[in-house]
Amino acid sequence: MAKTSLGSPTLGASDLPIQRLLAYQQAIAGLRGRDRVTVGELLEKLADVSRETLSTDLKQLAISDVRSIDIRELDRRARQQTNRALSAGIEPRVEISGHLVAEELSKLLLDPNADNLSRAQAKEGAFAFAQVNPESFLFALGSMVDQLCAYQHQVTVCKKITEQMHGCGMVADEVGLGKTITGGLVLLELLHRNLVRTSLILVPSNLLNQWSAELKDFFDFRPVSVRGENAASLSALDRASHLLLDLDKAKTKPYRDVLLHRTWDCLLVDEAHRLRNHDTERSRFCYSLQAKFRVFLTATPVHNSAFDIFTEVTSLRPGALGHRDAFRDLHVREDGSIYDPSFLQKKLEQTVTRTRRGETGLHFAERDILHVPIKHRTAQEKALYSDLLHFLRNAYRRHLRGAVPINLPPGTVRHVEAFVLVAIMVLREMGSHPRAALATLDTALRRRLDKLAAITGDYADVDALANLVQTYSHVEWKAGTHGKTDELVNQLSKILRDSDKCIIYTEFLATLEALEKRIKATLGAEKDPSFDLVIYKGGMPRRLKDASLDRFRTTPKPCVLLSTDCGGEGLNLHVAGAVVNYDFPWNPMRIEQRIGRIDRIRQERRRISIHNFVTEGTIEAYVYAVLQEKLEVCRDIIGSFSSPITRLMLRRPEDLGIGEIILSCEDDEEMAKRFDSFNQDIDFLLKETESYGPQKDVWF
Amino acid sequence: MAPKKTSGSKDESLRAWVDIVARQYGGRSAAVADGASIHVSSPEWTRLGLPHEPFVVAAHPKSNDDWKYRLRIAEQMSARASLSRPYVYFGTLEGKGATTNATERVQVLRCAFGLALVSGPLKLWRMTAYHIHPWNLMHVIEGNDELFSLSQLNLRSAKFHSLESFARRIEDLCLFVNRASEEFPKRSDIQEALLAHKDRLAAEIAMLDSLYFDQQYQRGLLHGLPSGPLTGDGAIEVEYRKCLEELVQRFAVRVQVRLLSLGVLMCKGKRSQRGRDSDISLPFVSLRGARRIDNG
Repeated sequence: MAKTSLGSPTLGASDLPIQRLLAYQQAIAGLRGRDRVTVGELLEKLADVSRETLSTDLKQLAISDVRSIDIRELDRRARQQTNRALSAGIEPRVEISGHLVAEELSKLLLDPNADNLSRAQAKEGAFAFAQVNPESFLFALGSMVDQLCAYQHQVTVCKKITEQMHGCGMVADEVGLGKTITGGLVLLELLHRNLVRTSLILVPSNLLNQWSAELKDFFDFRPVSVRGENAASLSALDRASHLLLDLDKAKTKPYRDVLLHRTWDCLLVDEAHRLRNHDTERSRFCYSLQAKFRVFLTATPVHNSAFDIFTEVTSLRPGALGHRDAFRDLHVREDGSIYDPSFLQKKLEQTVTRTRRGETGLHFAERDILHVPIKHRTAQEKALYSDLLHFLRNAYRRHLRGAVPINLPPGTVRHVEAFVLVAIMVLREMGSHPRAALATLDTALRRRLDKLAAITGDYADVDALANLVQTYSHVEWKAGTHGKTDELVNQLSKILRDSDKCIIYTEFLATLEALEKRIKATLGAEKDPSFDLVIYKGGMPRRLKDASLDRFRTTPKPCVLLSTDCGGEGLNLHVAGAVVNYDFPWNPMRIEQRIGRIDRIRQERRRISIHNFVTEGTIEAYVYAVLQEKLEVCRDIIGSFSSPITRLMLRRPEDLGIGEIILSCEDDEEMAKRFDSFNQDIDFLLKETESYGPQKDVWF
Repeated sequence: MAPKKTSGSKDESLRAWVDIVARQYGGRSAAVADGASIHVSSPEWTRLGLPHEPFVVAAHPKSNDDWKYRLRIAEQMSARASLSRPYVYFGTLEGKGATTNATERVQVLRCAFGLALVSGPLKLWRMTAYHIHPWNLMHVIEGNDELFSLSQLNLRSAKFHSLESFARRIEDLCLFVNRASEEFPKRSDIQEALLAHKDRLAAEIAMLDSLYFDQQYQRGLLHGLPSGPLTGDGAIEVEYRKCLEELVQRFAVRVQVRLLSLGVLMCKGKRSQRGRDSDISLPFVSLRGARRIDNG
């Protein structure tokens, strides 16, 4: 077998055995931090090596000074030799012995059938076809049920991951392009090639049933899904060849211990952007799993920064983007932008594959993006918004601007920053529903102010907050008291007339509950309710969630699915024709994920509608209107760091200084001016974005 | 008849496959400019959700519609057939007239099998092996023969009496298969693939090193959860070893033997001696120049 070109020419003709090389590396690792070591020190770390052997080995590794050994040089040479030995050690392994062939053939003889001739002909013909067309042939397609077949882009991606990426890759296709099927194809292909015998599929808990159903319906593949923690469940975890689990459950004890103890052939993770933060237990757990093939699926790999994709890719192929510090030095500017996007993309192409809708040749529904401005706000709403803003600004000035002189101990700045974050959250919730804002005022904001007061000894803000909450907490926000809810209720029948089924998304649980109450009250007033209302929220037991989705999908009546963002990811809800964004997550990726629930490959409508509800005169109107109106423009470049607007949009509000603008202004007039200036900056960046046309393909 | 290699052009292989599919479902196919048209109207076809009207399966699909039928009829159906179990069949080939001096009644054990390199880009290699009784000769050809295109293959008289005597011959056939699979990696295209494989592995190991060690080997970080009681450098070392092991396993090269079919055929065979070699001719294949494998 020919040797590879690796290795230093100074190395001797015969290399050291691999086990000994690995022992040297291990010993060197124990001496990290030292520059030079002696033979004696080295011998202490090597259990089975004599002085004589060590001396011979050092000569073999071309280390001439054996009295004081340069540890880095020793490490470099040992690694070079190890790499060479490992790669030269690849010899094909034939998987079936003569004995097994005989057994197989003997079995065949017991099963003669008159019809077998044509079947034998088909089987031979199929092999002949595959032999000449290996570039489009997939064993996995044979596992798909009769009436279904994959799309060409799915076959291409599957070939790329199994063959070019050697079973380690991320499918980052745009939303709605059938990543579950692509992931299933990759897994089944590896199975049919006998490269995989055990697999672990990790998905968000709300997608467990959908995954289970799709793998069964599309591939007749039935991994074991374990949910309990009793002995039988843990035994199944330990023994099942193929497991489908909730990612968050898998990362916690006792599941974690069992899963980490096992060796998996293939790890498949859906919604893999959840692994983007390298400090989280979720990400570390997935990294620690022992799996030779790894497949990640996500439409939105980048949420906050370029380091998101660094973490995801590193978990797939450790070292593909080098060391984190080296990655930063080489690719990321101080402002978070990328030095040379096409250079980085080239590197990523070896691990990440992204198909855009436009590239598939498939017809997708047209998106009608409808901006619904909420112009009318009731006096009560206006009063609450004004009181709230006044209160937050006062508290901010007192603590940060030093209206009340205070000597803050070290670390207090973090309290003030945290206060600003909560304040922004409250104002965003105000744009959604007063109930959501009041809930946060009474919990998170109170805690923040308590902490600040404990430092300063000034409890004025705590008292003011208590008064504010008391004043407004009794308000029922019935019909006619909240403009945005009224507008939604008014528009619902029209939306349902056009779309039959629609999904209303809100970020906040309190808003969902308020809307549920309000819509139910409206329906209760009707003799024969014109539509069904189905709720989907995080705290619901899984069986109720599944029942909700089932009802939404199957009811013959027009139906509204009222959901928090837990229903905004991964679910197939193409039975619906409209999405209502009742409020907006800051992150445009989440908006794209929401829309992706209905804008899918199997959507049969020609047009779908997206209704963006924005309350004028609030922070929502100042910030979101600008950002979200441009969402359609940005959709093509989402995730692209070559685009300044996306870079800006991906930043968190505190990074943008939004909190500072709102809280430091004296009045609404000043705030309007500052937001105007802010919006002009965004417009400027948008114009700049237009000039990025040729770089649109730089997508990461 | 010279041994026929399977690997023709893409167009030919597609047409041959579409023809097999059409006949399987009781329909017909015809060659067209870019591929083959297929016309089937059986109930089984309807159950598959395929149209009764003729449509084209493109050899070089361009549009999404082209791909729809191409993947469904060619790739998906061939994959399904590939995944099915191997089949055994019995048959007689009734030649005209009685045996002559030059011909003799023989029983042929025909084994079609494939070899597949399944790590990295898929590479397939098709072989057909023959054991001829009573001459006790074994030959192997690369590719296919013309058995299935013979019209006189008669399955009605497919009755075979001396099944037990095949046990030994099957063992011999297995030796064939084994030897072929051992030779498979020596082919130049497989060697090329292996070399690329090795280079890729070496590059991957170097990348892994770059994650765990800088030039001074001092910048190690733990990326996952600590393994057991180990902390610090020890935990990092264990993690690094885990990644290295995964990598080496991922790049392990696998060759699969895929049995396609086993046929027991009664027919007339012709043999002429040329020095140490015999020229064998069967109604569906000429084994002149084919590799002979000595049993035992």
